[in-house]
Amino acid sequence: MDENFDQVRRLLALKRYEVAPPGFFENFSSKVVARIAAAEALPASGWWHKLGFDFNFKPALVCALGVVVCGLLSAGVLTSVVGTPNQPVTGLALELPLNSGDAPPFGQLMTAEAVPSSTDPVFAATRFDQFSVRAQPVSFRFNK
Amino acid sequence: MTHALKALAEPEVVHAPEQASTPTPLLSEDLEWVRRAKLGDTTAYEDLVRKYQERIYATVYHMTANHEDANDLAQETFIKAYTALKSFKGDSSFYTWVYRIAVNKTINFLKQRKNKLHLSLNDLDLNAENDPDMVALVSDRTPRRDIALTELQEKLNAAMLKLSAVHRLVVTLHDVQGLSHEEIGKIMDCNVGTVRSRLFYARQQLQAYLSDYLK
Repeated sequence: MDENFDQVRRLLALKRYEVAPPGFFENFSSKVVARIAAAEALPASGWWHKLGFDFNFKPALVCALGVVVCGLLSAGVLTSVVGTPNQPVTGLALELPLNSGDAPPFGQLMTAEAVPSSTDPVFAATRFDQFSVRAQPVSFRFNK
Repeated sequence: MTHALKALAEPEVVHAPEQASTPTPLLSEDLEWVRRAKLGDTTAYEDLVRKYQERIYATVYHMTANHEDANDLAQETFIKAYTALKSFKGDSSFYTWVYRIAVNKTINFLKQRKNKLHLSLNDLDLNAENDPDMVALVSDRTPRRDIALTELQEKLNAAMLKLSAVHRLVVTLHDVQGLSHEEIGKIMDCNVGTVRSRLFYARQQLQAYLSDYLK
């Protein structure tokens, strides 16, 4: 192993011969100065730049528009799901007697006219309690 | 017959460009130009740019191995330096200060690009074929004697890109541009020992990557 890295250093010297295209540096400094002059000619930046909030507003506006559109869509979907306000609640909750002694037998329960239809709305009609399913305590009596 | 082989037939001793031994900048001249540039004299700043443009471009170019990127970054370096000129107190030389801006810009650029770098190499100066060191690289002392200098240039740049940014920088500043360890320490804001150890590691890595092309 070459501990002095003579070969590597000799090889690296090859990079000194990699030169920019002819004439490249002739206009380089004038281009830099022209860009500086162009930057100085731009109107003064807004107050947000002075406060350090140097960002592009365009993506922010697009993002805000997206949020508004999503909000409107969500509101439309929720309104259509909720239905007519103040509609009486008819759901899975059966009108069963609270007293366990008066409860009808299980078989009778299954054939009762009070069994809800699958098309009955499950949720409450108001906007604020739409996700709370109402339930009442039930008890079953089994005949021996 | 390749140019390299032609060079073997007609050896004409040419040494590597003076880029290797960076001339000591005239600090008083720089300070005067900086003073005038701070007052808005763009002609004075253009003089500063003209003085350091080749060295800054070369540093960035050897780091990126891409002419277009080096052009953009070198221009941005001088623009940034102009806008930050008010903060330049003269604690270090303008030359060290502008180098530091170039190095930071280039390292940030390389971090953003990560592995998306692609080579866009400048042509080799024709004098390369007359340099005895370069001739030796493609002569019968090299295991790959059929290799041309341009191919060697590509392999070397590809190997350089395998190094981390700081290791590539140390090799560029020392072995390509000829800066001293002390100067590199000032530019990279680290001590000379760190520069030496980074240089050792970088050369070791390059030696391993390029073993097929070394004696």
